[in-house]
Amino acid sequence: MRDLGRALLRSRVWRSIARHGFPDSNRNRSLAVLTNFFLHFHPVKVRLRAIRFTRTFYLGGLSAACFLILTMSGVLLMFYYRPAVPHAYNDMKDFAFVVSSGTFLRNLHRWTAHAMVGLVLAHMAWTFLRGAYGPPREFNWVIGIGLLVATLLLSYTGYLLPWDQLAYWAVTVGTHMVAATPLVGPEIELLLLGGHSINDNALVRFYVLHCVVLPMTLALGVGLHIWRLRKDGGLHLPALPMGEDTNHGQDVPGSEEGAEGSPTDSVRLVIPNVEVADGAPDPGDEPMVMTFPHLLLREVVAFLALAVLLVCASLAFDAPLEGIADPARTPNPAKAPWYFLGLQELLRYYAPVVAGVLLPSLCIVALAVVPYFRVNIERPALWQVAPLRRLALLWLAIAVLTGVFRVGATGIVWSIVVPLWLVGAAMSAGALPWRGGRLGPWLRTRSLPFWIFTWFLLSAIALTVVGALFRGPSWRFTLPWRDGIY
Amino acid sequence: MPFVDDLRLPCDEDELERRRFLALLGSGALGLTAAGTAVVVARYLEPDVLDEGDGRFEVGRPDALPLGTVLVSRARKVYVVHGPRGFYALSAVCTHLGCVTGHEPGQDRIVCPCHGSTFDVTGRVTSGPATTRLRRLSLTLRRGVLVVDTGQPVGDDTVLEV
Ligand code: HEM
Ligand code: FES
Repeated sequence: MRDLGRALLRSRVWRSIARHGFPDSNRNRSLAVLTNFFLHFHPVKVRLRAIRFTRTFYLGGLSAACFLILTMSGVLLMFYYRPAVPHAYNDMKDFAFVVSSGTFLRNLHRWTAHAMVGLVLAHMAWTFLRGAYGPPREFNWVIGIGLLVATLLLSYTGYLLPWDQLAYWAVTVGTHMVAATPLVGPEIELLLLGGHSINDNALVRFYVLHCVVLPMTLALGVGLHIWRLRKDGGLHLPALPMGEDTNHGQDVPGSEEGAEGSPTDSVRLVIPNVEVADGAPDPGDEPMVMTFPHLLLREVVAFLALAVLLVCASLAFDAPLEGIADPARTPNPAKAPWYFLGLQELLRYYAPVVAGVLLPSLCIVALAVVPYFRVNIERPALWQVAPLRRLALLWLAIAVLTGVFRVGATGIVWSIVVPLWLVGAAMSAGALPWRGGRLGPWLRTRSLPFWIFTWFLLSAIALTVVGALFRGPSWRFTLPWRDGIY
Repeated sequence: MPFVDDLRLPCDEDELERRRFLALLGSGALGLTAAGTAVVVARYLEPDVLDEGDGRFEVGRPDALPLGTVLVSRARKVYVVHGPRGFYALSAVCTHLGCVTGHEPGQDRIVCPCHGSTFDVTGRVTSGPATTRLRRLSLTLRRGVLVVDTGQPVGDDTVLEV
């Protein structure tokens, strides 16, 4: 049996398919990666430090894995789904009752979509916190922002397709937000909907965007993203601490462990110098392993873990489906999917132009320019110079910002203001002359952009949680433990 | 095979000028084509004929609506109100982001389920994110019957006295 296998692997047919021998030598393992179309975006050898789980938590890779699962389950769903009123809704019912495994496929597609949005957001946050977007990776970060937007659009267009009440009204609110854009808004809405209300035309347009235009864009973008990652010298790693004088005698917390964390860990930040950033680091002092099997094995395990999780979720929980869309009756409350609830919560306070157009585009632009200001990278510690003056400045800025968020709002936006104060308090704690054990030095060495990003993150989470759990009929404040979750 | 290095081929000023001109011409033509394609695609995507129905519908005789009545037409997304100064029709579509509002008879107010805007029965905003009042729609009396035209907005104080 074993001989037969070996003979097969040596046969001319097999050798014409895979051009290398059995991967039991490093030469053949190299060839396995190099000559395989599906693997060739990997280098032949990887740095040991780069494949540690905590380096990336494989968040980017798992986002890509979600995209793969979504593509496969989505194509299967397309075999039954018709983008027309009322067939679209009836086909959902068919998936539930007459198509074998229909419910499972729909669930898988839905839960994987949620997972992908979460993973992409987490990937972005972690990439930021690691400071992994410095030169030469700036543009790859910008591509990443594009991928985030495409992911959200994919999710949004998919939301309409079941044509149930939830779908209809979430998309109604979304398109009115677009229509609130000054000047071009109504025209974009007309092009998006193919009419002035959401009906057959809009459904077909969303279908084409969801099944063709956006997936192709995303596939192209992901390819570009990963290709550039390779060209930029692989994952960003903090420079090796040993035997280098870049630390300027500062106390880098002892072991390699400490220096490895987020780059802001050491007071004076160590950016890899240009030669290192440009290409592969000096192989001399960097332990390497073969991609085959070390990295590939990890990737396979991560992918399988994700797949098992998603399959279990799809077997256990059914994707929601409400009554067929009724343009005359808005459900109360009408909630968007979770990742848009922060936005919907903002809409409670601000005019649509501000909450739906201005603030989101500002956030996206701010995120996109992040690498060009080298924020979060190479900064002297915040409180080293003139701590008292800076402290006064900080609280002045916080007071002003608190005022700014009151302008034009129908109340105090606690979800934004409270995180602002919390971040301010944490920053001030770092400025005070106390030692504070391990916490003190950590607080002191965070950079300003780190705090701003933390504030962003906390506000986004607070807005989302309030929108998801504390809002009931007519978007009134409710307590989930008393009134339940709407 | 000999390598011909075009960067080192001789080229005089006139030839260079000619090539610059041709390059300009070529890229101009490409740019025009791209712009033309964009316009044609945009025009294609914008529907020329829409079957969105006629906005007119009959409500009933005025004497069927005593003073203070708020008649709700869910299907047409319209309220017909008999207020102290006369009859008027209000669009039930929230001016915030387009959800369909509901009338709460108990408090005689109009509430939006999406982000909680409230309006009084004259259409004025009483609270919430909406900033503009509910649109008033044309209401006319034709052969003794009230007729609303949802396609025709009217001024905010327009009432129909019968
Ligand atoms: C569809 C969504 C995305 C996919 C499939 C994806 C995929 C990947 C993969 C596979 C990696 C390799 C390392 C890792 O697993 O973390 C990576 C790295 C990276 N990603 Fe993404 N990504 C996506 C979205 C984003 C977003 C939203 C951003 C940020 C705006 C971003 C910025 C980056 C950067 C800067 C790197 C390089 C990290 C380093 O060198 O250490 N990506 N991405
Ligand atoms: S749509 Fe009515 S309050 Fe937002």
